[in-house]
Amino acid sequence: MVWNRKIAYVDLSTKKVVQKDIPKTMRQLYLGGRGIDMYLLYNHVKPKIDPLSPENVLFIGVGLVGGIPCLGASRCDIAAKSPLTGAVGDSNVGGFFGPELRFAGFDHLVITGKSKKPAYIWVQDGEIEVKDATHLWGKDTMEAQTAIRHDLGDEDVKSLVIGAAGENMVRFANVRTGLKNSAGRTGMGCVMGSKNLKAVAARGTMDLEFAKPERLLDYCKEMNDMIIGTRWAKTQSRWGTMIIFSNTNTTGLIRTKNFQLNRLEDGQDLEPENIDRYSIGTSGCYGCIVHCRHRYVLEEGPYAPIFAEGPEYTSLGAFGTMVNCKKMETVLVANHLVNKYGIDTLETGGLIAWAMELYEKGIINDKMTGGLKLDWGNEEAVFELIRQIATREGFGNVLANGFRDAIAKIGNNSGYYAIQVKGMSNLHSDERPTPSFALGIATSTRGSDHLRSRPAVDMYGLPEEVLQELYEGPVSSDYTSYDGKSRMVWWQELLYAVTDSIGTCKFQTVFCAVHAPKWNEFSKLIQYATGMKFSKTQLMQIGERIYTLERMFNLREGFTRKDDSLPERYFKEPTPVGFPIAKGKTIDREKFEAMLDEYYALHGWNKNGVPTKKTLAELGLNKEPTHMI
Amino acid sequence: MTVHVKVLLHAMFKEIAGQREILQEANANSTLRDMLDVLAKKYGKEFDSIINPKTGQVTLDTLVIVNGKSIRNPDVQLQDNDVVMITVPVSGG
Repeated sequence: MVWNRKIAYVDLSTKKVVQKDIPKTMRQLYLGGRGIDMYLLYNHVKPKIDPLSPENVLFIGVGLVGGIPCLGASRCDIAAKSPLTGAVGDSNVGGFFGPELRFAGFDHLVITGKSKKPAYIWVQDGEIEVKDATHLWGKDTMEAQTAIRHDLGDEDVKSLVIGAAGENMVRFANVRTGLKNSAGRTGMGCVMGSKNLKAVAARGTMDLEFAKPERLLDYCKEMNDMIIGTRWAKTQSRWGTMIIFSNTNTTGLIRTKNFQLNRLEDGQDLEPENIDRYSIGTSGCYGCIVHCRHRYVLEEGPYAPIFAEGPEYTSLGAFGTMVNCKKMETVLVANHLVNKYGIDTLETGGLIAWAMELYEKGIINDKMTGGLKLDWGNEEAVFELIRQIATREGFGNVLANGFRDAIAKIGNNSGYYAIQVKGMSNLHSDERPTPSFALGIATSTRGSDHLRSRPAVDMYGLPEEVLQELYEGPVSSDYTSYDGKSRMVWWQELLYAVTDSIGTCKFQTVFCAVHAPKWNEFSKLIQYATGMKFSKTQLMQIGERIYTLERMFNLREGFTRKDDSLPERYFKEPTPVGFPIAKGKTIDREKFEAMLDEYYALHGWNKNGVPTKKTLAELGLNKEPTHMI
Repeated sequence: MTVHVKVLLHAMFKEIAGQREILQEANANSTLRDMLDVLAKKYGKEFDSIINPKTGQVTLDTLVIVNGKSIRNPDVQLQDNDVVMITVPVSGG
């Protein structure tokens, strides 16, 4: 399966393409997808480069079992040095592009240099060509995909594209494919824009060969039957991740008015069932039996007609609770706009919510916003600011480089109100009542983020013996406790690193349920697909290798322990509302630091968060960079 | 004496019951298990599998949250004005 898939080096400056085999050693050490991308990132990106210079390198990698018919094995990883954070840039996307790239003969692309004119990369059945994209420049993310299919005369072409935000090098521009799928975080669309790269298109008809095809298909069916038989998968297939809103908003775990409240009062219209007013059905990614996103239509209103997919739970916060908009329709319009322009929904919503709090406090005013009334709940201001950010117009241009730059421009203690870590916005979750979640956003190698480690099962009040068996150590079942939570975060970081490297969906592993597929199931899938055998211990070590290499990249860029922290407000401002279990909560600074010590120790890093020599030797990282590929 | 409990239903539980919120009245000594039994008899499907018959505990694929805290052992006594949420553990972003 993977053995005849190539890595291609595409130099946009010279249009030269070199193809190579991927050594088996790379698979054994890093699997594929995020794992191999992180190896490439550490080896090919020189320290301290400007992430918007031609020296930055863009990596696209398909997961090791991408293309098999289960667990949403569609995932594709996109990496570079992040222009938003200066740290690891890395974002994972589902849909259909990843498998198509593999069907076209390639598992990894290494894209260097900068094209003089807008260009796109065309990959088809073992061949790669850099084509002119002048006619595509200026098209939104949907128009661009349609135009590429038309150009190539093939409706089955799948593309990764950027929109206006990427072209304008908005530092949190994303990479889009299909109607909804986005490699949303860390500004990989901005890196594409900096290289004048509008798209990467793929079409493949090359067979995939599996080590044990019959056993693989049987096992995929077993996985699918198991998944869709669960209550959580049935729920996701009906309402998607929006269903989380009902629980978190009721309890008081959701950021509202930026960070002023932890529950949106009168927010019933944002409850997931209300998508039914607009939904025309659900759709899914390649290899997924769940189908967790809605297709929706808005036939009326100033932005109509809208035909789109989503929204995720993230957008309910980004354009609902955080900006105090209480209508589902507002979220649906904003979700469509950010997708059309190609900007990260989470970063955009976080910045707008922050700006609204600054406006309320008089730190910014009408003169600075160009007359935009950034009052809470002003949906027109939200829509307009989305446009201004993507096009770098007016006040949008102040926000378009992300939190760090905007804080420097605005000054006046504005940074205190920014809910970000390492320069990247946090999800709309409020982690003050949940120390495990708080630790996870602080330690994430790509900046504040829930998809690097979130141990969602911490919320379920599971028996401690169940948690102990899962995490192989003592863990409190009380989500407000600090006990054992460093172990949870560490373990989930390893699991998600491996999940991103084999190319399956995180929602179908231990994100939703303790009995969802994990190490042993992954091991069987890898064996039946590729013939390679990994024990649970070996897979965990691979996860550790990937995560530690990401850490090494960040250390090389100058990040330290002090960057593994939280916005000051987490320590100082108690949650004002919610159930008693969630109300009046802050993060205890001493306990947080103790958790961080434990977390470093579990990774085999010293008190400063630097991997020890022993750890590097055990993981085989002591000689990196080794330039194997 | 009786206690009044607000029951918030989400996901399939809300669809089956046809309402988001129920005000449930129970005897002063009633437990969460008693109340879940009442709901199971009233609504049947899905509600009748909230408790795992083998373990007597709330099943791992259901969340029964009392005042914000997930409960596995339903032999807890209900208090007046408790808020009980019945939903499904789903996560993501």
